[in-house]
Amino acid sequence: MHDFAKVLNTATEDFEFSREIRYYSGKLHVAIGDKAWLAEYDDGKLITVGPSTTDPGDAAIWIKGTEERWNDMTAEYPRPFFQSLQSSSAKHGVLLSNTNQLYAYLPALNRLMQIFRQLNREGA
Amino acid sequence: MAKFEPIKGGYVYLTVEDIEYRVYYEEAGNGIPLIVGHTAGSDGRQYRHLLNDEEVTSRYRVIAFDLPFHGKSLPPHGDKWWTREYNMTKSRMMAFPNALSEALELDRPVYMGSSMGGHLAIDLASNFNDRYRATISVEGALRSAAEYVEVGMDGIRREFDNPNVSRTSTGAAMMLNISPYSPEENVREIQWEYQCGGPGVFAGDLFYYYYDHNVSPEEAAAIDTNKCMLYFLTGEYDPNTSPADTKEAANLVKGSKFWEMPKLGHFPVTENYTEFRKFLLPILKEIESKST
Repeated sequence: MHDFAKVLNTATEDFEFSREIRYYSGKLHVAIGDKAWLAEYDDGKLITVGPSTTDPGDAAIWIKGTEERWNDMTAEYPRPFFQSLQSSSAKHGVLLSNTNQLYAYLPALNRLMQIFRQLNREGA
Repeated sequence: MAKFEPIKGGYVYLTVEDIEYRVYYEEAGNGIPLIVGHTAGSDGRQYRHLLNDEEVTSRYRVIAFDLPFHGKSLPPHGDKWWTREYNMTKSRMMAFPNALSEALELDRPVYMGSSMGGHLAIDLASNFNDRYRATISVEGALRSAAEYVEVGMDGIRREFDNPNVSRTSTGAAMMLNISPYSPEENVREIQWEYQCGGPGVFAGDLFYYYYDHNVSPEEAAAIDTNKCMLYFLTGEYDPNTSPADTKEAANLVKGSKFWEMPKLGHFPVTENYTEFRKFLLPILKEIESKST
């Protein structure tokens, strides 16, 4: 399952994600292999999300990885060091924006990965 | 009928580097003293499962302490600690369990620590082998993984001591160390403990964990396990100190013993104590047999 828009739309119904993304205003850009999505949030609410053809430099939060890396990260039981975005970044070459916002919204991003795994498990 | 645990808590005053600290500790059990040290930025609550394990406390007096600035050990009264950056050093890390052992009049205790406490187990075995009968290094190595060390203290403070980022994120960051097989409630408990820390303390602890602890191959090879046995336990899912990193140390320390723990991460004592104790109990049994 590699439709990140679906992951974000599912996340809007999730209590923990909605709490952790509170007050965020800005862009979230995610690239999975040669596909990318751009989402915009205002005060913690998802305003838009869709395919992206550009790589917005002003996205405070962005995540970039090959399709293979995303498969590893979103496995039900990821193999060692794919268990989180940060360990995948340190050990397996997944790229993350180095911004205050990325650190501040890490709880939301962790929850997003759990939702991604859950959707995979359900075969979405 | 009310439910109680056998854990008792108290405060002891320890003087380290000319500063008097009021240190909180909890203990349970009787027998061989076993001092347990917590990870960077957390506190002795990590050992609550061990302190309630009768199979251990029937033979060991388990003592879990909060380093100053952690848990219920406040910053030192009478010292202007707020006028300088908090950074934990190797000499201070070693001094606290030594001072605790002296204050409680312990007879050559066992020391076990995890993460920075695991690094400390190596430093104690190397520098104070006359004071400890054995040390157990959980998630320890000669040094932490290069990928994290290379971030530098500025990068570490940017993530973990940043006014733009709340303590919630420090808890969330611990996911990078935790096994996906760990029960969710335990994972959340670890995160909670990390969300409760004092400002700048986790980052300052990492000064010891990433930099001041740096054991050379020559120093490791000189550790005398006849005087102080050194055991190593490392979880499969620990990227900060991977099993390969620990094995490197174990290979250098003649007579030491090492086990990789499948499906466990950087916080095995709290992540999944039921699994962790399968590795710990035989070690404690061996120490006990050598102590009689």
